[in-house]
Amino acid sequence: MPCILKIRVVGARDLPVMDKASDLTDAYVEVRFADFEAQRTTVCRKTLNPVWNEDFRFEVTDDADLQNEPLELKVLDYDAITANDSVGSVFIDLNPLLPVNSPWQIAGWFPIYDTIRGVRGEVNVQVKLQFFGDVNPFKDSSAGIMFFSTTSLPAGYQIVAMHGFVDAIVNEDDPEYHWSDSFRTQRSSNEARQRLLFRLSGQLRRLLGKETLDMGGNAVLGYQQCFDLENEEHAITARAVGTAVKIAVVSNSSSQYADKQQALTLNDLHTEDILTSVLDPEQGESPIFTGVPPTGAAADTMPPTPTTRRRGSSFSSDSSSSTDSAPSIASGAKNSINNYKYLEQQIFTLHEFPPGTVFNLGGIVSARSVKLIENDDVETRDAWWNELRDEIKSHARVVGCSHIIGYQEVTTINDELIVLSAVGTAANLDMTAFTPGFFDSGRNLSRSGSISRSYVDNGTDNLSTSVGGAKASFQNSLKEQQWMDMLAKRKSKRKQPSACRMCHIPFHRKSSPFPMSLVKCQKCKKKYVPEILLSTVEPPAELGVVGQSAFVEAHVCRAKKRKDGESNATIVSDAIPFVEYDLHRQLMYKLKIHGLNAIFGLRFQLTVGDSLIVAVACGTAMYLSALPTPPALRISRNLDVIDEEDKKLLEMQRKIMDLSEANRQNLEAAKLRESEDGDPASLPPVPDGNNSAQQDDDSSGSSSDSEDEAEKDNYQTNVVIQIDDDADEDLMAVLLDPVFTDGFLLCSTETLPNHPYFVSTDPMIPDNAHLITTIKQGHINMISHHPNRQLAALFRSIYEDLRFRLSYFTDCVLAGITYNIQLPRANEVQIQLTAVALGQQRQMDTLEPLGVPITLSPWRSVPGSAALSTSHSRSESENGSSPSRPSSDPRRLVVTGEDSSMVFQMDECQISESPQQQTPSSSRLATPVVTMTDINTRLTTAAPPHRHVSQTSNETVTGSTAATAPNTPVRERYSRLGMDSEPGTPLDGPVNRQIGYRPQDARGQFSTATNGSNLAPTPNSNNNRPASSNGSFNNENDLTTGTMRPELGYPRHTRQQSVSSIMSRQGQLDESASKIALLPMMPAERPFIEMTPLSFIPGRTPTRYLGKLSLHFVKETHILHDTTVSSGMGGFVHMFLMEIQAVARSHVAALGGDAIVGLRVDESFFQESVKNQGYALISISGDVVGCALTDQDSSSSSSEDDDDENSEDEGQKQGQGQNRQQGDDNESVSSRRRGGPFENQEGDTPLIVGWQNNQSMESVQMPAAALPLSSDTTAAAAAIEQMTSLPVPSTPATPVTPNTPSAPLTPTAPSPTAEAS
Amino acid sequence: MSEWMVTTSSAVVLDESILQLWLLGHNVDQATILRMPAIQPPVPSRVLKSYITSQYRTYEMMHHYLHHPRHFAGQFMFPLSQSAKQHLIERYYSFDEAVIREILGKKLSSRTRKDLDEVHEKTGIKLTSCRRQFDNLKRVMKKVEDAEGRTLIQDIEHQFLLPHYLARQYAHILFIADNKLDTFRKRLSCYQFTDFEYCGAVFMQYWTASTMDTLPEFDPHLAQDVRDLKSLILNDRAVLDEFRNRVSNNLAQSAHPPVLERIQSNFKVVLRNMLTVGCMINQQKEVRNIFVEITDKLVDAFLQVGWSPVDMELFYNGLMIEFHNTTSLTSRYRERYGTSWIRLVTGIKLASIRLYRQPTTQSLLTRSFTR
Repeated sequence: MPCILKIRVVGARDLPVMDKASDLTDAYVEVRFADFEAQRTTVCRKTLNPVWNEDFRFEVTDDADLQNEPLELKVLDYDAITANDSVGSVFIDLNPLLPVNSPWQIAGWFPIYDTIRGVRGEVNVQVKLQFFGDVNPFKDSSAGIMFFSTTSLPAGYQIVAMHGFVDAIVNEDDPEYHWSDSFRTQRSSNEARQRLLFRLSGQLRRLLGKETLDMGGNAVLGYQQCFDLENEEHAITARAVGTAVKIAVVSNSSSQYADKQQALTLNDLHTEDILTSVLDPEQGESPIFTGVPPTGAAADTMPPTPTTRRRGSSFSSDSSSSTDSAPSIASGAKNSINNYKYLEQQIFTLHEFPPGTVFNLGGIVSARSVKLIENDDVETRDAWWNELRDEIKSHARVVGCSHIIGYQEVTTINDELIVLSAVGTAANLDMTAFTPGFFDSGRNLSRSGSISRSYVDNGTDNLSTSVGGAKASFQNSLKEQQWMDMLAKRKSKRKQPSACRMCHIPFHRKSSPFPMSLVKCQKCKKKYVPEILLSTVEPPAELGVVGQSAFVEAHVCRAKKRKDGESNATIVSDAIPFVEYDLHRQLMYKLKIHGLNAIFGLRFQLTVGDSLIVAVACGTAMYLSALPTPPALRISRNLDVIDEEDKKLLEMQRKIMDLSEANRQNLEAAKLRESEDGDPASLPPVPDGNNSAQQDDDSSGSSSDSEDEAEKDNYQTNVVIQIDDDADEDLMAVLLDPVFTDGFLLCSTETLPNHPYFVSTDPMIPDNAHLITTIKQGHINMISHHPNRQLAALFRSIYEDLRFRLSYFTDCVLAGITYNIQLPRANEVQIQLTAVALGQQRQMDTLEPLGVPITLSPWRSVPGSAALSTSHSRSESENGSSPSRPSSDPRRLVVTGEDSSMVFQMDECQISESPQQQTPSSSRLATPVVTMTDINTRLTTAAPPHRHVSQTSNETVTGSTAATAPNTPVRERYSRLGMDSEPGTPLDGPVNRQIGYRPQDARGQFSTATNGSNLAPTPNSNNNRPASSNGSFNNENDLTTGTMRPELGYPRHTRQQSVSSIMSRQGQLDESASKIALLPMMPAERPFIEMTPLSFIPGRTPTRYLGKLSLHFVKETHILHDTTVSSGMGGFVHMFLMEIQAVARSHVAALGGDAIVGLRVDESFFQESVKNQGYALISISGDVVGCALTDQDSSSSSSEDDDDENSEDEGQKQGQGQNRQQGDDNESVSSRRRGGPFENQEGDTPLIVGWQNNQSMESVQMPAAALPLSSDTTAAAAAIEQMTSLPVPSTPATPVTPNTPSAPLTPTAPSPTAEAS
Repeated sequence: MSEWMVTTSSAVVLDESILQLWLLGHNVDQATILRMPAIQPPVPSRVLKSYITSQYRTYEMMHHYLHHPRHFAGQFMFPLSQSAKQHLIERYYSFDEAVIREILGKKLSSRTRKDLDEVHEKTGIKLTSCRRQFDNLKRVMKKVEDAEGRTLIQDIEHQFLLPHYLARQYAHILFIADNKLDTFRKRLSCYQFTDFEYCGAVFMQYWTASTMDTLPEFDPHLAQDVRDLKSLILNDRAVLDEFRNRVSNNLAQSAHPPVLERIQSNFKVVLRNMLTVGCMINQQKEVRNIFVEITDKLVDAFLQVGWSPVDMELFYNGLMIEFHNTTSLTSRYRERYGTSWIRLVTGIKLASIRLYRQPTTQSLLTRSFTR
């Protein structure tokens, strides 16, 4: 079907100087798409801020092109004589425009990225797609499928049907090795590679989407894509896996409580039924048993591979028991549990499931295979993976599980050797859960209740529309929350058995596939549980986790001989089992040290290099009350103590044992306490002796290899590590993890159970969530006998570093830790860590010893966020009753202003100890810069304070207006209208726009009959308009046209509404406002764009998903090694990472989003070549979301702000002037918001210039009217130039009063004050 | 065998103390040593160094935007709040008075830049920091040269988003630099940067033409008027006598009358010197010496007669008021030159009160020693 792609190239700013002679640039833009001929703008001569305003269109016949190809905008510098120089390019992925509820246009400033020079300047582009959709059943494309990187169910959606695993694989030649590479420029081959990555990721999504469509799904969750750079074969293989589902928007209507109650009771019934269905028969049965995941349980070799290595671990429930009586309502459960033997095991890439969905966790299943790449085609690769998946399914079958969840596929490549790994968690799922209306009740059990991803409201029934009452729901949310909490409490009591059910082994005890020790469940005392539970998924919410969790890691580093081809493969495949064994052993020991019995969020990473094999496992260890407390760890040493080092080791050994015992006892105590609290009537724990007597096969975790047979009988006996040689010693040495005492916690999961941030009742919401990316390159000296310890030391140093960096947080949790480990060269290890630091920003005074970073953190400056508003209120209270306080006491406010927006503190040490003081000249001369400014602000005039005042409040203005700007919808609506109503004309003119804005008219035209596929209409829930009418409207349309394009949801709807309400309260602005407000393309100061690998953002609720972003970057630069900080590979990588984040932010902003969640690094590669060429390649992807604040009632807060502003108007004038002068588009908005007396002042400054605000680009040529005319002539602020009007100053004290700010009579004043400060 | 470590955060964290060290021009190693004692609990210096390095890298990357503050607002590279950006700009453009004192009135040429290591030696400020301050000045100068339609201060505020007070300081420095006012005579060595900046502000305020030209110049009309006044007052005995009497009467009526007989004898000299200074502003060459002229001819004259600044102030005020009452001067002239007279006297008054200071032997010594 034909689609029309419209592009408007508006302008650029801050371009680099390309012409040395004139210090200017003659820029033009080339627009390329797919195979179309490149189109170009005119050359905008001799300016660094060109404005083109030119329109382009591509008439695309094939939808597949839209999915496959990125739109490329290349900015060049025109040269009359020599070849035109490239400034850089912008790649825009069009996929987000395709789904039915897409943002419709991508518009905004994009940093121009060059593969050699990095980000240089920005270009403003608008892209619209007039998309008709292809209804042809034989089509190639799969436009409209939504993709989510997050591994949990996105907020606001519910799963209607799970369709299962989908995968795609594409292989193409790597342009880096193209024959033309020998003579084309570095830049063009880099760009070719970048383009290829874009194309591959597009193709993957098209293929995966197609598969999903065939299965009847409309979305892919847990989408993971990977790029394997097969350098030996000169090819890039792109892979993607995901879970095809059909999702629907959770109906958002503020439903009556009655409704809810019904729903709830219904659900209670539901779960109870299920429970009984499972439980009843089992009570009759003889219990079941379990096993510790055996290390390296079964290994078999598969024919095509040199070796395949796998480790299955788990258990299985005796599910047949439940077969007979399962009532119809639990038919899904019946299916999933009973028929596992007959049904194919299903794989899901999701890591988190709605509460109540997971029946059993079986343990980790994994499979690896070692292959040689030999010019293979896609089919071969596909076969490889299918083998692995089959194998992993068979593992799951063995342990009696019907599903594999938390599934992941990874590879490591070393020359032509490739190791494929698949890992997941065997589990039994209750598939009935995936029907509409199921989870309504259980939701708030999950921690999401606390952390913003709460599915705030829930309707009972429908997947279809509804709409609108977002605001209402917000108001209700508090009550609802309480309601839910109550409910959760009630429920959790009733669900008591189900909490431990998850730990029960899913197979019959007698038919245990492996020799494992099973014990009676510590809770119900009926079923059997394994001693230890390992899992890749997030800890399910209903699991009873006791006490604090701990982050455990295992590091294994082994030397490998350098070999090629087959022999290399043999070496590797022989080594892998031992690597895994060591890994597992370390994990087990560490668990024991911590006294914990389960690991969640476990991730494995295996990397094969030329001379090393490195494996790392990390997970979050927890204590499940259903599982037994692990025995304490003992270490016995057969080595002689020879030297100092040995003594140290001995000391360490003692510490480990003490720690282990202490932890163990603590946890036992905690558990007892809990059981007493929770269920005082419960029986005292069954003595262990009895248990062990009954057990036929029993061995503790690591027994199989290192333990004495004698100790085997007694379950409670301690685990003993035998140290017989250096290798054992090395293992022991890494067992002691660094302990961070000051509230710095690590976890690999998204949440940390029982941590105040994540408890569901009364959570503490961290006010910051910073994405942390660390890349460390170190080397491992293989001559030493302790390679593991060296590896562990590298990790430790990363944590030390992070802890210090993050010391501006209290209660910092580093969540969602993921690694990527690479071995770039012999003995070199490169660790890439991604995580999110959640924390509360320290108060200024407590930062004293730390050197006090100012954190200008997003949260602080988001207007209406707690910080700011409290500071407002604080300043009010401080200032007491004086009504005119802001203007009367500006300085006071300065302080608080600084408090709120940037905590800073001068460090005495600097000032007094700075070395200049040692030089002969006087110390006064050496007084640092700060002193001066400081003095200026404090002492002399009131002007700077004024500035500050206005700034703080300004920030409020800008931020909040930007965030809430009601013009966004207007623009969107408008632009959409433009599209729909006149597809013929390229882009609309101003006149049209004026007409265009009439929502009522417009609405009719929105619904284009599109995409008659079997997609369920998924209208976005967050509609701005009155719910009822609109909703019904939608429904009608639905009926008539089959599928309609649903109304756009508007971002930040609640705040928007609050603003509009404010505006109407202030009166009459609406009409004119909406006219002026038309079009800032991108509010100038958007709130910060958050980036996080987690699926949620603390303190914010995602209100709508705007599509998946997938960006790819290549950079190649000559690296200088000099003394500056930006030299070397470190400087190069630092800059690169900052740049890609900048580009990612711009894309999010252009889609109208506030954040990117589920951020994944799909491929990354950093290397310095011999010739000091730095090469970096990175591919990131994530979900763009629009968010609303949840931590407080935003409407009230923003209105407070507004009030503040009004009262501060006098003092602010100047500052607002400045703000305006900063120039971007928010002027119109701010002026409008301020309303009242100031409106006339700049009412006409804003600028309905083009169809969008050109001002932002030409910010340099601001009208003079926008300048701060210091109209606030308070006596103190009277500056000299203002004295023109009063030429005879009458005071005799002239020298002191009207002087310049920096003119204290006593020049020595600065130093003492500074030191005092 | 390279080892390196990079940590980036999606939020830009500005550590004020590190920012300061960076602005002061310390390199990473120096900064690490300096910070080390302040860190509680202590961390390995490797950790601190890596932290400081990444702070420094961030600041280095900010250079571009700090050089073009107007581009700072919309960029995606550094997600900072508006006030943080403002703060950074302010900090980056802040300067050491000692450093600026050393280049005040010099041409902002590459030669001066080369000589910055002398400034470094003299002030003890790191060379990098001196360079930054110099480059900032030069950048501002270059940018405002071709701007139109605003006053100098407004233009600096606009182009560089500097806070008002800083913009004013820059304007005054540039004004002094543009007119190449000499600040390096021996007599002037006792004055600080702020003294000159203040005088620069006074000159700019009272003695420049009120055109919208960005870099203001001394008002030639004022100079012409002063020349006329000189002949009118000094050449007419009657006018001079009446004026003198009136001024001394005026002074006698004030609360703390200064020693009057001295002014009687010196009145003409002071008046002539004042008018001579006023005439200077017309000539590019002469105006350079304006600071020396004011100190030598006016300040020192008062110092010799032992007048305090308060006395001076009263005297100048008397001059301004009594000019209008001097009936022997035709009222036509009084009207015609009234404004110019007030501009001249106010300027002189403010400047000379500010510069009222005996050069101490010590300051003279240090100066000559270091120079």
